[in-house]
Amino acid sequence: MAGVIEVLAAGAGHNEVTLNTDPKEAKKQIDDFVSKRYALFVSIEGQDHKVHHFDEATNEIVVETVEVVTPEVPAVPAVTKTVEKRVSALQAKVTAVAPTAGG
Amino acid sequence: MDKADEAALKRLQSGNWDVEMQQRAWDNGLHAGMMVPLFTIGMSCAAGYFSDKFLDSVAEFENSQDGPRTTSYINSWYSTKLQAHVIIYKVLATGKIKHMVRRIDSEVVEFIIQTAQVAATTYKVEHEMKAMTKLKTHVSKSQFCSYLTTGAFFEISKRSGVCYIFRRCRPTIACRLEPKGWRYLAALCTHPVGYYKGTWCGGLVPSDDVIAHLMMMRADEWKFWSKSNQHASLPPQANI
Repeated sequence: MAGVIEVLAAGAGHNEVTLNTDPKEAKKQIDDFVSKRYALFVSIEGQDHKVHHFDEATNEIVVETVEVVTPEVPAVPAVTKTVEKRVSALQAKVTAVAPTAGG
Repeated sequence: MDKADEAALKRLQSGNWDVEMQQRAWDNGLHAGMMVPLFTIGMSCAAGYFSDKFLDSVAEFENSQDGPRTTSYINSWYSTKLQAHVIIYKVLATGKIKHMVRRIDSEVVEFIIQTAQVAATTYKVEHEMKAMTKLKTHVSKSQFCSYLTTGAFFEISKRSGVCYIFRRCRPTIACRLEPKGWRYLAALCTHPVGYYKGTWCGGLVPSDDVIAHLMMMRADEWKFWSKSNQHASLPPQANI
């Protein structure tokens, strides 16, 4: 089983690019999209996140999300912290959105 | 004309322009395809997606279609008092400054007609159906029902509390519920790949644009705002 990058495309509708099962090649694919300024989104635990990078060592797609931590003591203000989440490249369904023009 | 060009021309003439465009785009490393060029309506292409050379050729083509310029644009704004678009321009031959008042309702009608024309020529039903099938997997049952029946659905951002109304082939409305009622913030308009000028049509089919807006809002709300044109409620671009 391999993950897919679903590209929202003009002309013939969606394009599906299958992620290579070799982590090195998969990283190249992801980096190619990022270098062309595509925004990549992946769904983890039912929530959409922006892809941060591809971890070649573990063959995982990494996202970073900001979460609000509410302290138990009411007087202490809530703080935000960055949490890293991962999804295996073999199961990931990535959506790629091309660079945009404001309409 | 070589054999490859002849074959391409045949595909275009047989009505398979979408397949031809797609092939050309893939050959040039454009994963998200190419916008279908229309000779009556101008295109605005995403700068980071197309090469500068391509954008220059589009601009050159549009300029050649316009013919020699007789006027030069000075300024324009939307007047809430007149409910109209006021345009100030200079007549190049005489040097006189003149103005033009275009009623908003007539501009909206023009937008609607041009949008319908572009949609009829560039979109294909099977692509829109495919996009809607994908959208269905990203929204709740009630949101999809709302989208299918009314062409719009809403979602409140968990991050900012702003309510977004996603609409088919129209800009996304951002608003907020306040004690006195709903407060309009902006109509956010952005299209992956590009859009057709004077219309609400993007290069992608409308539901693909909705998916792009939805994903940007959920995963990168700040960027969604920064990448979008933020229209006030009055201009026809907002379609309020």
